[in-house]
Amino acid sequence: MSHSSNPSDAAVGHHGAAAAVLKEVRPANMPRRPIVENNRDFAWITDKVCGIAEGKTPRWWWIAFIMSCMIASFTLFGLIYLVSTGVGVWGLRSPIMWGWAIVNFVFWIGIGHAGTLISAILCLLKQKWRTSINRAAEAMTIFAVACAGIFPLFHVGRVWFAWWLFPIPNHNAIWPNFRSPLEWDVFAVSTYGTVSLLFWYMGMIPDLATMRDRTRMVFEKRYAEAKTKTAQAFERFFFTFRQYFYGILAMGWRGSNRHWSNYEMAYLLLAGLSTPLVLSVHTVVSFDFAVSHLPGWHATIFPPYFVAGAIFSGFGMVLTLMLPLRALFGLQDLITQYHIDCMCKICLATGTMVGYAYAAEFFIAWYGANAFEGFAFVNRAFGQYAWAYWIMITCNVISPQFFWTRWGRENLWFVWILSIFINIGMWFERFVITVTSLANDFLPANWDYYSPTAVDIFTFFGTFGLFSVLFLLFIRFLPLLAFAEIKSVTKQADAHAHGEHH
Amino acid sequence: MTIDLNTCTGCNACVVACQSENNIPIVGKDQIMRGREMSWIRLDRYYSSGDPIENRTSLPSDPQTSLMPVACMHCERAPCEQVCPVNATVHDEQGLNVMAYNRCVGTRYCANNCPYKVRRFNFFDYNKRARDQFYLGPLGVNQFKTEGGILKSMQRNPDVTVRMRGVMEKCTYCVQRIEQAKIAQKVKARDSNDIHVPDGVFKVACQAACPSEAIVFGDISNPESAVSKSKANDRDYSLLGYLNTRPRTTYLGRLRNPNPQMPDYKPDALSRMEYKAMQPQSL
Amino acid sequence: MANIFPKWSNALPAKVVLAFFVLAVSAVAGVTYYFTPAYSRVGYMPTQPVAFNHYLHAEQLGLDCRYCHSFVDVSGHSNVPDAASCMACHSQVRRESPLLAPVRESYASGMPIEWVRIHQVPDYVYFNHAVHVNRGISCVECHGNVNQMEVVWHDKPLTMAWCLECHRAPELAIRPLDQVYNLNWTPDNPHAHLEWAVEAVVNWNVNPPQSCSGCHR
Repeated sequence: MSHSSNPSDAAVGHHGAAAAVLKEVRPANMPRRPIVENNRDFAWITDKVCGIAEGKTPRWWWIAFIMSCMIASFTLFGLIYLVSTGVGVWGLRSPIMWGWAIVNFVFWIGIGHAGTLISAILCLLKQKWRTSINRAAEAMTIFAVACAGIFPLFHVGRVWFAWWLFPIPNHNAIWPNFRSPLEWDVFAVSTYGTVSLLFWYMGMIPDLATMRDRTRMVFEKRYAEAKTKTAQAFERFFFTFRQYFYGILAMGWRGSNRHWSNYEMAYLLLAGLSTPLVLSVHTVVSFDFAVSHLPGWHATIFPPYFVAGAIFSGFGMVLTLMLPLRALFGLQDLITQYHIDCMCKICLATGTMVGYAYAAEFFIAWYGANAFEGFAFVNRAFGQYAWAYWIMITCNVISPQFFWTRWGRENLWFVWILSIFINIGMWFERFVITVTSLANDFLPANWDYYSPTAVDIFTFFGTFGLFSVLFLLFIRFLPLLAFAEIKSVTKQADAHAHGEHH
Repeated sequence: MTIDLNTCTGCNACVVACQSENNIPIVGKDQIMRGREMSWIRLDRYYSSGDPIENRTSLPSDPQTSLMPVACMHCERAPCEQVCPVNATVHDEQGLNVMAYNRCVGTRYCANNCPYKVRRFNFFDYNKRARDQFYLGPLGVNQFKTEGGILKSMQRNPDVTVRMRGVMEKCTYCVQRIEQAKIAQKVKARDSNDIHVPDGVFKVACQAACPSEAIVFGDISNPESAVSKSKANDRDYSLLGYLNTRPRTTYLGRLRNPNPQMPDYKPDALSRMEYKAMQPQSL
Repeated sequence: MANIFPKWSNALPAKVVLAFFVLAVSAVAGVTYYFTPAYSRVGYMPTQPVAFNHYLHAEQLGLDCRYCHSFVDVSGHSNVPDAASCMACHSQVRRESPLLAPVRESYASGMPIEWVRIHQVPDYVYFNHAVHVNRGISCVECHGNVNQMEVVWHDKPLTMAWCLECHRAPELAIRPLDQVYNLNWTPDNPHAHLEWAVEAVVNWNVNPPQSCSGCHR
């Protein structure tokens, strides 16, 4: 039976009754968009992705790495100054006792949620297109959680006692307060970090094994190109390093049936475990605000609002990272317009949910006839932080609406710039929530205005440096795409795609 | 505790007394400008023209002032207690909201959740560093070891902890005075059961300093105590009572000339200029 | 291609994880046990500038604790005596003893003897002696049998949990007021004593503070 694109033809000869109905109904021919374009085969895919880590380090990588290290040092110095001198080096004041630090924390944790959603939830929903971006997105999650964890740890006044938040038996007969959302944060974020790391690493094992198995071939190719004695010596050292590095990480993977069977089961289990984490972790983070009774914080919409916002900002960051990498490494056949479309549509959906949440908050503030609540929201839009509020609305509600149009999704420079706006908008959302509610709360005698200091600003931008350092290292050494999974969703891997025998 | 807003003149003696009694550091003008005042009791001043519509839209040029001394309310359902992750602020058996400085790690969630914003945070080592050296951190001089610093240590109240940076503090209802009174009573009681501290044996610092006796403090479980009688007054109300925090510090509302048959009756309170205009001309 | 690693490395990851867990648990257990006053403080027995022998003076000679620690029942702080208390007897007894030379020097110059402090709680703990000894808690409950000690050592942990044990169950530590300074006293009938103690806690209205404000101000 030759391969035909008409499903009704293909059905003929297989099921007689079904074939007859199909002939009469004549359903429209709507082929699925390919996950991998240009009919790339397994070998091409493997070579393409592995080649990123196997080739010579490009110059732009070195430049980016050095710059990122310098920027990351801002965070290091900022934290050293903070811990040695006191929280007063930040711009905090009574009544705004949480400022940029907590905004940054929620910002980074939110970004991390997209990776877990792509890996876990889209896996359970059988969305094949996730395979091109899940590895990089998960890496983004882990590095974002690392950046996020800095802030709740260091924003406390006495960091050296932060271990008191853990329930360790002691001779003071005192336990931490399990009713406090900050205590819940400790467990939520550490669970999230641990499970994400396990999921990311375990999913990578077949790919690492492939890279391990290619080390000799890569060495021979690179050695042939090495002209000087030093270059050759370096190649030999690098070969040994890569053998041991990928060898240890690959954990003895042989690709046997048992290995694959265990892998698939473990993957499914971890996906099942991570799915509730996507929803619960940011819910717990939102409880930091929702459990208090400040007007503007004390709202039941916070959990779904925060989770939707987290996914929104995370997908924005995935787009920010993947679009340049796609162009730099020539991955257009693996990360296709279809993938970009899907990501833009998720941004649109979650962005609209966030916009709905804004509207719902306003409505309830009016409908609830609570003077403090009503004031809190009018103050957000027209008070001393109105500038932040309107930046937030523009970036979060208005900008993703461009994704309705095909032009908006296919003009990749535009998509990239919009993805950056999304993240700016989401940072401002957390800023508006945190700071405006604190600055103008119940008693007017307490109202004040918060501005960040240079230490605040440098510490925050330094975390982008830290994130970049980690992500650049990831690009350089680890498989950027989950090519084993990509191969499994191409036509070549599908046993039922055409009637031909293998 | 009750605070009578009729008799409070806004003299700030309570603020000074509290500062002396509780080793509250002086943070200096620069830090005050950055919003880091440390006083545990503050005097809120609200300015109004008596016209509620006008008050919302413009600054009154000739305002009347309303005063309110605000310290920790020691709420029975304190929002700060629930959110401290390390149990540094808890409720004790006497009904006080207690602050254990040695347990505080300084997450400042309690301050965020306090609707009255009475909690103060030690942003720097206000006691250990000189006022112009806060930002130098460990490079600054350790004032505890200088001669002047040692002298200053003798000025401090030995019954109250001197706080380091990174810890929260707030009005404690002068718990050191309460405990002193209880201890003295128990020492006197020995093997009898008379450990109840009679009303009026001690005064908290702000109460002792107040020249018009606006602050009344005592045992509300004793219906005969001065504070219980004060709370039975019709004017008694809780600040932000609708939040159901059940503050133990309540206020006796201010009345402004309520009797319409008095010759100088005005439906709205007098502003400062109106009041001055009514005074007999000075010689 | 040939195997990079030998066969025994198959079991290595599992072993590493197991070892890590064992290490973590023992680290926490070790710190909880060793890094607490219960372990580090109990048994501390420093050498004092004058080898004052409590066994001799309190037990054999029968001096009451309050003869020297005179303010323990009126003050929060239990004082160590000045040289005048010592010289009350030692101006007659063992006048020339070289062991008492620092005492005579201190009495003559007015500079106090630099005793090595053994029992000390942190600055943020406010302990009051008077309220304890006046309400039936003997010295022995916290300081041990000092009257048997030739050189004083730290006998009890004095940790917060240890203090709370008694604060939560004062009937286990209370004794008749006239026996507070009798460090050798034990109840004739422990069962009857416990009954008495439970009643005494009620009759005397003993309610030690159990929340933070009791000791932390």
